[in-house]
Amino acid sequence: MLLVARKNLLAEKTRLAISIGGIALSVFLIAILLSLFRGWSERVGSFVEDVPADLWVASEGTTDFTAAASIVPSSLGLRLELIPESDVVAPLIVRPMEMSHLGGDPDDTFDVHFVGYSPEIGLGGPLEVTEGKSPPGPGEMIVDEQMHRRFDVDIGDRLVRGTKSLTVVGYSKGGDFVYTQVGHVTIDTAVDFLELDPPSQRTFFLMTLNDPSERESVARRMEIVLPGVEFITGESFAAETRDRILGQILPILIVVLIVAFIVGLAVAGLTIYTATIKKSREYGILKAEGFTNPYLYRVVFEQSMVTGVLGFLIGAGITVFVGPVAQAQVPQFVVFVRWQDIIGIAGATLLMALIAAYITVRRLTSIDPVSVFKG
Amino acid sequence: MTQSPSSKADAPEPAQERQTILRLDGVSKIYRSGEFEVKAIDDVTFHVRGGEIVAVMGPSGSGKTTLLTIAGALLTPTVGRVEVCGIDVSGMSESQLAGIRRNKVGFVYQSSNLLEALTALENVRIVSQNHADDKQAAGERAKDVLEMFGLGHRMNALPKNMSDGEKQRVAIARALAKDPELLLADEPTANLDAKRGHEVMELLRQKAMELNKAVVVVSHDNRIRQFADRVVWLEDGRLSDDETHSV
Repeated sequence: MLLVARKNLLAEKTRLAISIGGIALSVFLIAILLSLFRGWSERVGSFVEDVPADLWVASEGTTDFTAAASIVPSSLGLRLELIPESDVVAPLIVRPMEMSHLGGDPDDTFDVHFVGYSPEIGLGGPLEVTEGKSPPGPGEMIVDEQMHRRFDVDIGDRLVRGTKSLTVVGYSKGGDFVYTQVGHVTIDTAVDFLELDPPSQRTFFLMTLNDPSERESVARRMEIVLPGVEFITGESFAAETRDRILGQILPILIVVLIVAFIVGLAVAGLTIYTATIKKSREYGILKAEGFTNPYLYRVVFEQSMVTGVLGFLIGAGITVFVGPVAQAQVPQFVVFVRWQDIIGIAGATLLMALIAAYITVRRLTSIDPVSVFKG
Repeated sequence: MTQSPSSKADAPEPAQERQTILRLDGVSKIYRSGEFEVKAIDDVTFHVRGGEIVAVMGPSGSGKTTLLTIAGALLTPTVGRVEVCGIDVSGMSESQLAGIRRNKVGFVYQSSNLLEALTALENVRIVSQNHADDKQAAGERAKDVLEMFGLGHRMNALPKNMSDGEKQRVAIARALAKDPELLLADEPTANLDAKRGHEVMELLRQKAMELNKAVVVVSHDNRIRQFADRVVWLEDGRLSDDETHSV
């Protein structure tokens, strides 16, 4: 590093701290928001993605799991089993709802993504039961462990909706959608609890195929054979589910990310620019002494880069440290720090530093060395 | 046109006589603003040899600093020819002029113009190393020059902790550390009291003579006369060698 660049940086520690702090804050904001988005993205789609179904079968117009407005007859299952490529067919009844503790404040409700599945088939059931009984019996429910943590739903508790109640008999993993969690019951319990009329209606059918690579072609063919029924691949269904939830957040996130970038750029640019203005006489002296413009550009560039790198390291470090701590305190604060994002943020910081240096370099060019002879 | 100051320089030189380091021939600098035109320097011819100290005196606004900056390859003349160490710098590009300043010219400013974040040694070294191919030798030379100026004990001092006299001595050391052929000083005693000003000028004269540098000192301080081999007078951009003027 050039002597002048290093000495100028260290000579004004407060300015350096402000500059680094501004970039670090910007990096932290960008990193934590991205990590939060990644965390949500990971969590929200994971249940649908991890259910080992090749095809989700729903009524026409259904796009994703959470909206779950699909209604299909149970007889559809028999027709699906007749498809030559079909291996396993499993019905699901899915309904988002609010529940509360029996005997507790009826207004103290929480969201449950109620899933009725067939324990005999297993497909669509809890991904991993971590504690308690599985499968659930009549009138029993296995809840996601995040529901247990966030809403104090314990094994043995009775959860109520209207006049009906269910007993919690176990905890499962992988059913957290951040804003809601999955609660699994048997199909029969679901029919009874929801008082379905007719009781033969189902929300989805899940299918596995003998050859999963045929899922696209089977889906296209069956949509022609069975009009009014959608065949959606697991990946597509998971992606649509993510988009449904995160699509609302993404535009806001992009705006906040841009604002964070501008804040970092403004702080770095202004501090480096004002430092250069303050030192413009000294840059004039260097010019008079025969130092070329590229040398002076390098001084500013190095100052900007060092500020940027230190700001990035501090900002990224805070993110890595604060993320898990915040997550432990607030379960909804689901962060997933991806190294690809960190590299991207490093690139954004580099860009920030480059723009800050460029703005300043333009000012350097206009410094007239003759001015140092005036007074 | 004022030609008389150059008459000494134009005289035939014996073989052993010192070389002309700075040569300004018919130099004018004209500033234009719309329809208005100001001649800061008007047809100046002016030569300085190695080992010679020339004082350029004149009232404020007479064009002294403009003359100095043209001589120092900071400004290009509107008309005329400028040679530094035999090199015509009149039509050079900005980067070529920077090269001339880096290798051939040392400046001493009215205020010391040291870089505030750098120590005395670093201030001298950065300039000497910029000039040199051998950075280590240049660094050593920076130390030697500071020692020569009696500043060996102040090498690690920052400008803010130095007196005005010390700072100006460091500034002269910086100008000489890159071993330039031409030393240009702009009001070097303006910010110093009489005693310090005398010390600085004496030091400048002594070292310039020892090292055989061509020195041009621009000033309106009459006390400068006693240190100069030759005094020229600049008024309204025109040069004369009338030493009877006083500021």
